[in-house]
Amino acid sequence: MSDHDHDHDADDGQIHAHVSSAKLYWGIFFALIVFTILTVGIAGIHLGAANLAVAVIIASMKAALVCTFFMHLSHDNRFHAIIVVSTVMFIGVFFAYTMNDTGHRGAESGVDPQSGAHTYIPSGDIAPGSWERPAEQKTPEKHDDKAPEHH
Amino acid sequence: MTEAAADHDHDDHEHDDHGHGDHGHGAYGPFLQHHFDTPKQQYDAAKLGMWAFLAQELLFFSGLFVAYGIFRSWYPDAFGAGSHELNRTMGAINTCVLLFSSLTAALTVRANQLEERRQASILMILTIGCAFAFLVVKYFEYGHKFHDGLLPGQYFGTPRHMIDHEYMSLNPAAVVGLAGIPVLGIISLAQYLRGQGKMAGYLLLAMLAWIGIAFGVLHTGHIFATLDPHGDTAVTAELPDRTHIFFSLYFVMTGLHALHVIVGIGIWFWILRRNIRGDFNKNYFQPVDNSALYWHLVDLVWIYLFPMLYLIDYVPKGHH
Repeated sequence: MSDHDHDHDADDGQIHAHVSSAKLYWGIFFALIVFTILTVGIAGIHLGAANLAVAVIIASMKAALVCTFFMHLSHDNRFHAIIVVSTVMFIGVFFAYTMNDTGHRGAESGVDPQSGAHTYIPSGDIAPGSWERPAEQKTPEKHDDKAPEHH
Repeated sequence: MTEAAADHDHDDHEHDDHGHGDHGHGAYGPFLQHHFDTPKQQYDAAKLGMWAFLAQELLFFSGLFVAYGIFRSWYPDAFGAGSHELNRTMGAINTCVLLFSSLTAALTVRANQLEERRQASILMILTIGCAFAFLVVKYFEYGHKFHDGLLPGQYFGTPRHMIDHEYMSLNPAAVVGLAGIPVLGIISLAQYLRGQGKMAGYLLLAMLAWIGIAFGVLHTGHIFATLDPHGDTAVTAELPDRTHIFFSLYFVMTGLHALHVIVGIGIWFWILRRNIRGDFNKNYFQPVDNSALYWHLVDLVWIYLFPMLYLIDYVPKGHH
């Protein structure tokens, strides 16, 4: 079942795992090096918010090459690929829910103007898990003082 | 061949019925476990287990990546500035070293499938060499961060001279602890000279463990117990608030990854020893295969760590 290349002798009890050519492995290695150079090169361009997205996309292409060829998923039992894909999907769920939560935490409660902490509107108490607002780029005082010296 | 093997398989089952299942297994070498009928069944079972473990590893690392995502979205400036303090060249070199070791690991499995024992040994040694090279580069990187006070959490900004001072002030307990190392070494050597090779080996291992513990306790416990937090060095004074969060994540993520590399070195030494002993053949190579899968996972994690930690786009304020 796992080695569909060898269906004719799949049941003799011996292992018939696919043997990839050394040339293929070297080709994958050079592709990975090219992607590494590419990701370092792109990091030098100021892409702003797209920086992380581009980095993750290139890294994922490298990861796909490693999984498919070095880890033999291309010729392996399909079930192993299902394990990997479902793991990645669950990581996606983990990311999506957590980022959605932390990104909007306390958005509907009050904000204490002094500390920036989130508060319960009815009582005015500080909400559990409240955090100082990083937004509005409340840059630290020491940095503001020194900024002119950089020019 | 196919028919012969099938007949053999049949025989095997007959034996099983009489409770002598192991007799038929001899043809497949000593490593076919009695609860498996064929090498293929054993191989498939081992590989499925390995993939389940790898899935767990991915989920385990994903917790740190989610933490990274949250803090980076909250404090983009701190992450940009922190990333700017890392050495891209060293990170890129380590990426290439790990990718190459992944290649040698994949080729090792291939060599074992083809029963090229000598070639497999050479490739395993290359993989181990790359792993050590990776750790050496990492050691210099960490040393540089320590020098600049780029430490995790509340220790961020601790000046180097304080670390040196605390590290050098050895107390009597530490001296006694360190004295145990040469004592064990001398006893080990004496045992070896008396022809007690095995005993000497155990003592040598004990000595290495002792060095590890003594070094670990002195180097980390002592430092972190006595440092004055919330200081500033010339480097950290210039960085935005909360850059210490970036370095907390940097040390935990790369540290856990480095721990995986160290475990990997141990695994490859074990596999190398078994390969030299001649344990593996085309019907029994799953320890090599699974070790290589583990090693590829270590590489996979680094593939994401490198751009996410080292390559964040950043324009310092006032430098435009």
